[in-house]
This record gives sequence, structure tokens and C-alpha cells, in this order.
Amino acid sequence: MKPCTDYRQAIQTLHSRRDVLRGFARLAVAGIGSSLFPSLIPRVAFGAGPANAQREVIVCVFLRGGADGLSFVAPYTESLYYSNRPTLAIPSPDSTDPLKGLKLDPQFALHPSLAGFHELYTAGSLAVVHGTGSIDPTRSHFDAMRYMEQATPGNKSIASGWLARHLVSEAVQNASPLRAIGFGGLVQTSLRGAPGLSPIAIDNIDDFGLDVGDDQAVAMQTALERLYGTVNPSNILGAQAKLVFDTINQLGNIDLANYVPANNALYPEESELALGLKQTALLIKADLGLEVACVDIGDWDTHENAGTNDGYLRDHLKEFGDSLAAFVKDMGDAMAHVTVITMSEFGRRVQENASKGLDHGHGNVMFIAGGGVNGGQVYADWKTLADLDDGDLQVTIDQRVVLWELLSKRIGSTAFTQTFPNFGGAPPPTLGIFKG
Amino acid sequence: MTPLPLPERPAAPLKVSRRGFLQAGLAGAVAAGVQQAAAPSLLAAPPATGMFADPEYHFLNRISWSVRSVDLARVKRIGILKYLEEQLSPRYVALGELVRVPTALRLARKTIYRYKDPYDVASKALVSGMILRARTSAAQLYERVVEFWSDHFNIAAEDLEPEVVDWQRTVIRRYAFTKFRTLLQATAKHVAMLYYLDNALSEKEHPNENYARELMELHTLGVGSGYSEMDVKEIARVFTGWTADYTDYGGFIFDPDLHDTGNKTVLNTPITGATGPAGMQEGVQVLNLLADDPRTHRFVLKKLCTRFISDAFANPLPGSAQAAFLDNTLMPVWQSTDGDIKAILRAIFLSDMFNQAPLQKLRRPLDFFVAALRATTTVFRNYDDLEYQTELLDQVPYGWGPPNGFPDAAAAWANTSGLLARWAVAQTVTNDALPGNGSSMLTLFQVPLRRQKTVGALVDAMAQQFYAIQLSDETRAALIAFATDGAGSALTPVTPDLLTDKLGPLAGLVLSLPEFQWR
Repeated sequence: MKPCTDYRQAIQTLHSRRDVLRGFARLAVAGIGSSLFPSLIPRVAFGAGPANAQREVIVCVFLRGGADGLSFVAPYTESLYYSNRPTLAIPSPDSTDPLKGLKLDPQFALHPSLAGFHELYTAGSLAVVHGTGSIDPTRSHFDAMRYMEQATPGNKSIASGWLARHLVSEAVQNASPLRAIGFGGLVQTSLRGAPGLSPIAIDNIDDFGLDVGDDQAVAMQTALERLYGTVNPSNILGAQAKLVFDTINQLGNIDLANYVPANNALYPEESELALGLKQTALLIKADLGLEVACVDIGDWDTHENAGTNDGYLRDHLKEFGDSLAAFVKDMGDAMAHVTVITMSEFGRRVQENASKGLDHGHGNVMFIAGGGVNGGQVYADWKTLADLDDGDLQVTIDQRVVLWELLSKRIGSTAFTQTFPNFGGAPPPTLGIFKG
Repeated sequence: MTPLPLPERPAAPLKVSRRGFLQAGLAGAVAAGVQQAAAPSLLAAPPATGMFADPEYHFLNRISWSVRSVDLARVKRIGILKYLEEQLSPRYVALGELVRVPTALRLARKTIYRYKDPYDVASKALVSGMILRARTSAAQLYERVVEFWSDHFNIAAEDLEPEVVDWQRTVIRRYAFTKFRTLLQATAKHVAMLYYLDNALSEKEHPNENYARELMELHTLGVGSGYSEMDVKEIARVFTGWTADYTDYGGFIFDPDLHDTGNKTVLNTPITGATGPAGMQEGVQVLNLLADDPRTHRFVLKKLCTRFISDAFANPLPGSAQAAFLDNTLMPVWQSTDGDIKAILRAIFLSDMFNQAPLQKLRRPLDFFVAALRATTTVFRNYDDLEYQTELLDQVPYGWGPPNGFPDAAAAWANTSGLLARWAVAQTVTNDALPGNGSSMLTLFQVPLRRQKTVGALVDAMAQQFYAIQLSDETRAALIAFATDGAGSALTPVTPDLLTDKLGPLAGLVLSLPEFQWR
């Protein structure tokens, strides 16, 4: 069988296809701007959520390919970390190495590319969870991603994502067509498959619209609304067509190309993650009813020449860290009601391989940022690198424990069984990661 | 020609496709046919009026990818009965094989592995071959049934492309019109299935239960039909030794050394363990046991009716007309013909139940794409552009990761991004494909339309040319309003400027009609 390099190739292929898409976009209308529809933009009045409650937003960042958690956060006091990784270990913050790690506590250190994270951590608005993930033992990217995004480890008969189940539970905050958005052109598994939820896929807000020339856009929308009977939809396609145009009309006020991030936040260029986060910030500020945004960053499948300190991962980590730091800065005080969580389908092998790379592993790191986070701490039930799961970091904190604490404390969800259907009947004890 | 490395024994075959995964959500998301969007009251399809209610039109709309005037005239002349027999005849299946498809689809497995990049060659051949055959073949019903079995016995092509080419040629296409029992036996003996559901790795010390489970849950009895976890474990033991010959390009073999020779009990039936090559007969026996089981018949019939009649068959209520049709009409046909697929198709397509269901099925995205190509005679000259359209639509042929096949019912596919993708693809195969618009596609739909003198005549001719219908008054009025920017009427003359500005977008709009999303 073909090895996992396919995976990276596939990601690259996707990227090039996106470029193709952008190429086509010149034929397409760049969004349907409000100027085209001066009279067509009655702001939809969305159903109210809990009275007077400030809407909470979850931003879920997925690192696709199995990101090496031990290149993000190092257990720098363990000699096994350095002996297992002659070329791929973050130098101890106590060393004199110019590339040394950034100290989090007496046990863990951050990769120096994540300097922005270190500031947030010190300020108390970023928490680290280590040795977490999905408890299913699979090392298959696809099974692991599915189990993680559905939060149903080992169960393939449940076909909806954890965020989707959450969004259709009683914890509904509002009825906007823009409640749930998957960035990157297609909707993430975590948002799919729940009856009654219609997540929107957006690649670029400015391109969300009809694929016709500017001169035809108004006429085309008018014709489609008439043909699909969107005024009073009588069948499933009519209802979805109405949702399309509600969304287009809502997004009509939004102009990504001319968006200026606040507080001089600087999003990295040419980054899928940064683009998604920037658009998330824009939508939150526009107050269009966003509750959950899913954003991806690919290319973490580092089987060879991982370059933790001096190559590929160093740069890729910087893109990751700078994008998230820019988002937090851009959001400013509004981060009080926003929580960012990051996850990846699995971590990587503790011991580096003969190609200076890392094979598929198990336990991993998770970052949580936001005003509702008890930050400045590393949450772990750490077993040391002498006590591994088949050569890999153990999963000692089930990801669902963290996710449930987020939903229950920040959103006030009580729908435990509905959201985590194969996690036993009673909610697990919380770790104190979140305020609320 | 350089000697090729033999396919290695897979460490852990990936069960969810690259594409499914890249499409972030789709793989597994609607895996169990979970419905999303729209309140139940809105689930109804639109009412069928005018031509759509015509029995011959409805029949053609269902057995083919789209209705063409020439075919409609023929079915009107010779009648549905005779037309159906033609479609079921070996002669038509043979005619269908004349469609020009990539060479790899006709090659033996060993030969495919001689290509420099057999995976890439096979991948492209699968996708373009499926679309070419669906669009062009005279044996339209055969291709639709091939598609049905491809979903029923789904194998994601990812990482298995050369095997899936072989699987399609020697299993699905070869046995699509035989008996279910014959088809089932063949599916179990192909390495594509054995790899995909991990049975190739199963051995007596560690039986892998993946194939055993899906064999009952998806291929035969249906989930919740009363088999037990013990049945899964016992069937897993039965199929130990059904694996690939790693010394010969991975063809199917039974390896007695891997086989658990103990006695088993499957569905309360004792299966006597056997040593040596005779051990394989246990699996054959179990497959026949499953093929004989009435639960299998009803499950497969339910799926066939969901595909070819309406979504109401997905979960028919006891006492419903659908349940009665399954139990009183189709079950006897299965049992009297030993599951003859052609006999079952006759019983479905010639039934009142079928006749009463025009426009009840949403075209799946790929159905829509192929229908749009067929309606407009648009051709692709660049493979990547072709595949890109299927990615945009979230339905790359053979790209469904989980073993349950692409969802069938409308609710799985009706969503905002899906609708926008359909409308975009409609413009892509019409407006973008007009000569001079810089696309790698080429269309000629515009040629016969240029002679129309009025806008009314233009939209009428377009609807007739694309899918052999007369437009309803309301649809016609909306199209005329679009073509004239709301300022004209059916009698507005067609000017060169109007053709330049509107012909392409109008054609895309005609493909975007809600009536064309349903069939």
C-alpha cells in the first residue's frame, strides 16, 4: 500500500485546487456586495437565545495530519525526551541554546516559534492540555479524524459531529443561517450530520455567491428565488435555496478585501488558517449570529525531515502560532466570549525514525485560548515518557472531558448524553480549565 | 518495462478516502444516512406536473441519466415494456461496452500494475470512465444498476485504485444483471473487498471482524435485523484465510494456514470446520445462507426501491403501501426467481408504485452533473477540470469512504453548499464552456438555439433540447424575465447582444431549475 506521503500530497493537491478555484473566481462575482442590493438587505431578525445572554463563540482549529505534540510542548525535564529525539527535541529553556524552548512551568516548555502563545499563557488567557486525544487506539488518519470530530471513539454507527449535536441540543443560542460555519470550502465532520442544522461552507466570504458575472448577478438571484419559491418554500430544495440567499444577503455587508484587523493584528499571508480566523473575526464583529467556526490547518504528517528546530515544523508552527495570536489580538476585549480550541487526530511517536521524522502516535497536545479560560496552566495527568502506549504518548485525558467542560461551563449546555452519546451516562468531573 | 514491486501487504488499509477526508466533513458525516436540514413538513418533493407526470417520461427519467427527445420518441413508439426488455438485454449491455473509456478499465490487474504510476492511471480511469459511460452509454439502465451495486457493496477507491478497476470489471459489471447470490459470492472473493474491509489481514489467531460485520449489516441482512455479536465473531472465524496472494499481484486466494478449522455456528446453523482447501467451503456456505435469508431479500429490495422509486422506502412503516409492495409484490418475485436481478427490476419498473412516483427522487450531485453534461453535450478536455467539478459537488466517483455507499435519500444532499455547487457547475458546463470563454470544456448546445427569433421560442427550444419538456407557464415566465432583465416578454426578439449576454447564463439557469434537480 502507498505510505502516508500520499496524505501530504493530497493536502498539497487540495491547495493547488483551491488556487484553481481562486483562478475561476475572476469569472465569478466577488460576493454580492450590498451596493448591488440597496433594498434587498433587511437584516434578518434571528430568534433570540437565552435572555440577555451574550452569545458565546467556539472556534475549533483542526491540525490535519497528526501534529507532533512533543514539538509544540516539550517535557523538557525528561532525559528520555532528548534520548528518543536526537534531532527533533526542543532545547531546554534552561539551556543556552539560541533556539531554546519557552518555559511554561517546571515541567513543560513551548516551542520558540509559539512566542505569541507564551504571551497569552503568561497573561492567563491560554491553557495547555497535554496527553489528550481520542481514546480509540487507531493510528489511521481517517478513522482517528472521524472519531475525534464526532467525539465518538470506536463507534462508527454515530454519524454526526460533536459540534453539530451540540448546536441542535437545547443550548441553541440563536437561529441565524450563519450559526455554524466550516471554513475551507467544505464543512468539517464535526459540524455535519445533525438533523435540523445546516452548516455553511465558506472558503472566502467575498466569493460566497453565484458563479456568474457581475452584470448577471442580480437577475440570476431574482430568477433563482422565483424558480425555487424562496418566499414560501414548499420543499426541501426551496428551503435550502432560501438559506443560500439569506446567507448571501447577510454576507453582502461584509467586505473581507477591505477588512482592517484591530489592534494592528497581523495575520500571516498565504495561510489557510489565518484566512479562516480572519474571516471568523470579521463575522463575530459583524454580529451575524455565529456560534461555531471550524478552521483547518493541514500538512502535519511529518514522516521524514520533520525539522522541529531548523526546518519544516519550525516554520509550520510559526504559521500556526502567529495566526492564532493575530486572531486573539484582533478580537481584543471580545475574546471574553470567544473560546479557541485546537486539536489533531493523533500525536506522533515519541522516538524519531531513521528519516529524522516521526510516525503516527497517539496522545497529543491541545491549546485553549479565550477570556473564559483558566489559563497560564498545563493540564495533564502526565505518565512520563517511560510509560508509553505502544511507543506513543498515552491519552490520559479523554478529549471529551475537555469538550464537555467547554460546552457546559461556557455555553451552559446540559445535553451531555445527546452531545457525547457513547461516553457513559453521567458527565465526567471537570478539570477546571474553564471559568463559569 | 521495468519490473514492478509487488503490492505490499497493507499494514492498515485506510478505510476512509483521501477525498472524503479532504472534503473534511462528508466522509462519515452522513454515513448512516442521517438526515439534516429542513423540517419534516418540507421534505416532500415538488409535485410533478405537465411532462413530468407522463409515464414514459417518468420511466426514462429514472432508468437513464436524463431524458433526451430521441429516446422519448422511441419509448413512445415501442412502449415501456419493450424498451425495458431492450435495456435488460445482453445486446444492450454489449452496446454499452462500446463507449470509449480509458484503456485501463479494460485491462487485467497485472497489466495495470505495469504502468509507471498504476494508482494515478487507475484513479483517473475510474472517475472519467464512470462519467463517460453514464453520459453516453446506450445501456443506461445497466449503468444505473452498476451504480446501485457499487454503492451497495461500496469500496472507496483511495489507495486501492487498480484493485477497484478490477473489481468493477470482474465483479460489479459482470454480475450486475445476474442473481444476487452470484453477485454476493463474487464480492466476497475479490481482494478489493478483502483489503477494504480488512479480511485480507484476518487470521485464526486474530480474526478481523470488519468484513463479517459489514457483510451482515450492509450487504445482506441489514442492521438491527436480529443477528448477534456472536454471529459477527463466528463469521469472522469462517472467513479467516480469505486473503490475497501477495506473490501474484494480490489476487484472491484461500490460505488454509490462516484458516480457523474449528466448528462454528452462524445464525443458528452449524458450520462444520474443515481443514485444507475445503475450509473455503465454509465461507461459500455462509454466503449462501445469507443469500437465502428473507431478511436479506427485504433489505436489498428496500434499497432498490429507495433508489428507483422513492425515499419513502428507506424506512417503510408497517402497514404502509411501501411495506405492502415489498412484502406482497417483490418478495414473491425474489423467492420465485432466486433473486434474479432483472426479474426484480421488471417488477419495480412496471409497478403502479413506480408509476405514482414521478419527481420523487432528488438527483444526487453526480447524477446532476452527468445529466447536465448529457443535456448540453458538453465535453471535458482536461481531466483535472472534470474531477474538480465532482469535488465541488462533494461526490467524486468511488470517493465515499465508509462502507455504506453514498447516501441515497434527498435529505443527505440538500444543503446550501450543495445547491451553490450545482448552480456553479450548471454555469460551468454551459456558459464557461462556450467557445471563446477560455475553458478546457467545450459545448455545442448553442448552435441549434441561435436560429430562434423570440425569447419565448428560445427558452422553449432550450428546455426541449436539454430535457425534452415543455415549460410550465410560471417557469417560462421566470426564464423570460431573466433573459430580458425583466423588461420583455415571450415576443421580445432575440438580438445578437442578447445572445452574447444571456445565452450562456440562461442555459445554466435552465439546468439549475428545481425540476431538473428532481427526477
